[in-house]
Amino acid sequence: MNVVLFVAGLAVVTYLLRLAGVSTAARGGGDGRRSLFTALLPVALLAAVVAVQAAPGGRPAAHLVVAAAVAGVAAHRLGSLPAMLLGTAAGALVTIGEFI
Amino acid sequence: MTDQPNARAFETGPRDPADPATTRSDLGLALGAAAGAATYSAVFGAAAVEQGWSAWEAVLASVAVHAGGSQIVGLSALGGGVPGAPGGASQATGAVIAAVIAASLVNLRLTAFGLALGDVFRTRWGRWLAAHLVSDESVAAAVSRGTPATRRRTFLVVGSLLFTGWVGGTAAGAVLGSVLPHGAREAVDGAAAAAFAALLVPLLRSRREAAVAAGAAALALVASWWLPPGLPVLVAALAAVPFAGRAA
Repeated sequence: MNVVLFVAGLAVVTYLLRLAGVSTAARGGGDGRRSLFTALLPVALLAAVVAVQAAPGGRPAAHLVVAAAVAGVAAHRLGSLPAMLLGTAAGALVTIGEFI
Repeated sequence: MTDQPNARAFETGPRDPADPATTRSDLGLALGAAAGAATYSAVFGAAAVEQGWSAWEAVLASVAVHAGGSQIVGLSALGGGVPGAPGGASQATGAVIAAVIAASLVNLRLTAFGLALGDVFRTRWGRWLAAHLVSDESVAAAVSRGTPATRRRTFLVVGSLLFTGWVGGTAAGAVLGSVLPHGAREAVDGAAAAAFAALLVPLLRSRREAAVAAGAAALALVASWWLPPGLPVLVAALAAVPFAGRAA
């Protein structure tokens, strides 16, 4: 029961958080500074997400750093899907190497 | 997406000749994001079952919440969530509320991602229906497109496939997680980092964007030494402020 309550609570809060952003964006308007800020937001947020994924708690993990780096380099030439697969494979190789 | 019943509410428009991005390239982005999400969510599904959740509870979480980091943070905050925990009902309710708050912190960034979508959804119904698909991946893919119509299409294609991958991966992980060989989960640990990196790089089209990304990554790393999960990513949004101010 606790799990269901947790899921329901988190689902409602998460939906409202999403809706707040989308609704505010739809109101539009704003000056050039605000437009540029919102244009740069995904870059800043995504870079931060990559950083915390590759270094959980601020401590870099070799296999995660390798996965992100390989995917990032490959995305330039190969596109998103092959880059992601290559990155995951590279990270997995590092993990397997650590196990051996 | 146009053959779906809600297509009108989503305002999916005709192909815009001003933007060369095609549905095929959207599918490429979507499959990459969905594959990463499926792998990541399989880890969540397996971990949830290991903690004592039933498979359907894990899948319900992925359908209703659809936000990976927060589900994993919530899972560790709540633990098994087994009824009859020591301390009685009030303590159990307190644990649920604390877990919801901890997990919601991780999702604060989704408001900022929604902001970045701009004028993609003009009708109220469109926004209400589309809000559940707002994620790091769907917004990152959408903002890489040049016009509102192509941003809308890309958002819907990537968002829908990502959602499907996320839920399917959770189900697979919940059902098959216990039979995976030792180390298999750790081996695919890097899928999320790889998927986000593959989405970030195409957005770095100028020195300004590269500088914002570098600043944000550094801020997030330093902040994650002290702040709880979720907040470092929000703090990192500040990296965009000086650049926005300079352009004014």
